Amino acid sequence: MSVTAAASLLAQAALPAEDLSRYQMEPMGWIFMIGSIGTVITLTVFCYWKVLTSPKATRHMHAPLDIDTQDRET
Amino acid sequence: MGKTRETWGTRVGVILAVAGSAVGLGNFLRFPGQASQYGGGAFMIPYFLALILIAIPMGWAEWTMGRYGGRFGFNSAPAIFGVIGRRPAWRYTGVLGLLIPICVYMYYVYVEAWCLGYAWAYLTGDITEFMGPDRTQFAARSTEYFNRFVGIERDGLVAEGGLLQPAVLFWILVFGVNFYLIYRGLTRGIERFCIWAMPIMAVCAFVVLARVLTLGTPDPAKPDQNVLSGLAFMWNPKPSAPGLPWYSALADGEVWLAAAGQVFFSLSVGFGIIINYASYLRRSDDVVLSGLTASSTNEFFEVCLGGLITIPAAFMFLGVAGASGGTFGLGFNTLPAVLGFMPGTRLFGFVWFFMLFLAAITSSLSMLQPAIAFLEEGFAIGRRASVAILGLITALGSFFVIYFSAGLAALDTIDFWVGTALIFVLATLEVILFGWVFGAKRGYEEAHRGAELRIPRVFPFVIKYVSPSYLLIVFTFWAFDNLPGRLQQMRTGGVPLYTVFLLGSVFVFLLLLTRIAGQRWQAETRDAPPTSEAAPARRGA
Repeated sequence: MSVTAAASLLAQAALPAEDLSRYQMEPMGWIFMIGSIGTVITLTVFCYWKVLTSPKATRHMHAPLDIDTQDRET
Repeated sequence: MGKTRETWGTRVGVILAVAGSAVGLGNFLRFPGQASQYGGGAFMIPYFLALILIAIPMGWAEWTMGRYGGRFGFNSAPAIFGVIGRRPAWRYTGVLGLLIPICVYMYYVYVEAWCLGYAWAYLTGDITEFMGPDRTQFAARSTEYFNRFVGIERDGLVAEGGLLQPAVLFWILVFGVNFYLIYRGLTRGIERFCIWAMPIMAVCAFVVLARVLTLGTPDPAKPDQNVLSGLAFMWNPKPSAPGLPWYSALADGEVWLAAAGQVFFSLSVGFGIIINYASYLRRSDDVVLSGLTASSTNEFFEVCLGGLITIPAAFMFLGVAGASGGTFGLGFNTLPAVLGFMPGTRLFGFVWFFMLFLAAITSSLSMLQPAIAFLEEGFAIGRRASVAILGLITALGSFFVIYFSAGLAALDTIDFWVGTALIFVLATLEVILFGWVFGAKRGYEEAHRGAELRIPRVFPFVIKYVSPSYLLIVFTFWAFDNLPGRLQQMRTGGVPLYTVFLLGSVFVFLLLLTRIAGQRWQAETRDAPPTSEAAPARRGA
């Protein structure tokens, strides 16, 4: 069970601390971090740019939100 | 009934609704935990491969199948599977597209209530008061607070505290909000809510991210625990064993399984939700760009926000031990302890848990709509009646989850059998239906109807061969690792066994409903195969 496992891990946190000095950003760490985040941001910006600048954009406005679509029982 | 067919109001609305369905607690809690545990930065290689080879193609397949089914006036998985598969048997496999969201909702709405309850506890100071001033006790006190909050020690309505327990009160509130929004309908309920909730969620995440990245070295007595070391713990590629090069992690099958599982669950493919949402599109509405945009939005929340917040923050305050653990452990045990150390505890605690609440509610809403659509189109009943029926079923199931709170056994059992195993099964069935029954090339052409982006030509090959193979391999290894233990657990009886009986009962009930609805559709010849690609919708637009 993840909750109980986490509880035991948290209990370990109170134990004498291990040497954490080895956790420093390495060149490969930077590459993976910047590469992953950069890829996702580029894809997301590209997608939203395409969606928002599409010449068809106005055709996707099916109905203003304030019009009651009668999708409820009356 | 003579009612107007529902459609989405705006394109951004449907994208945000699908993205909202996908973005959940897993983006902020499960992904960072999995990545840091399975190879750190190296995890991202199998992660992106699985995204390209399974998740995005399957997303496009679901969007395409949903829009196709919508042309016949259908919005639920059983009906759409019946139309695409052209055999009644496919309708029954589509029942999984109802069972999964309904049963996952039963526990997910409770977790959603925890998030809102925690946000309220930070706002009022209740949790900070409970944690006390002794920093050495934060970890233990946060665990104790969670255990009391959810009644983890024993069964009973949150350990016999009754209806006035905060977890139960927030469950009632959240349950009511979900059904109120569903009752308002697709456009005025789900879409309007997601258009507001998704940007607010992003703002909340940016606020917490800014706080985490500007913490510097929060405890001068521990100079090795700072922002950069937190990021290093998350992003430095980790070898499979000390002394080996970092890429040795890629030879570890568990890393590939973990990455494929994370991508797969994160994008909500195999839930039956995307099919339902896409069925409200019009026949020439784009699905390729919209599907990719929804997927990229989910990835943005997961990689860019989740990947920079949770584990680095936990590492900065609690070290390696604190930065490990599963979704609930990180979310409700570790992070409250971390927030206790952080300046501005109450403000950032509220913002963080409110953000998780928004992530959860945009997902839970999407779990209700498939069943609402099924009841409406299968039995010609109105919104009020369908909401009442579904409300009763899910309330009973959710009450079961809350009552059997010891060790969160009921929740855990549903999450395993439905929220994990059955999702693999449904995803595999979907990809077979799309790639082999509907036809990969036909599906490729159907996806491009009104498309504003071209799918690579390799897509038919990927969806027909690569995606199902990848899924089956992952599922086989997952089953090999997990099923024996779970089956053993069943033999001991108790709550896990009762829970499986509950799930089985819901499944049989849905099968019976599908049989009745299918007879009705057949009598109306609504699910007859199309005579041509230009087959008109039998109802509505």
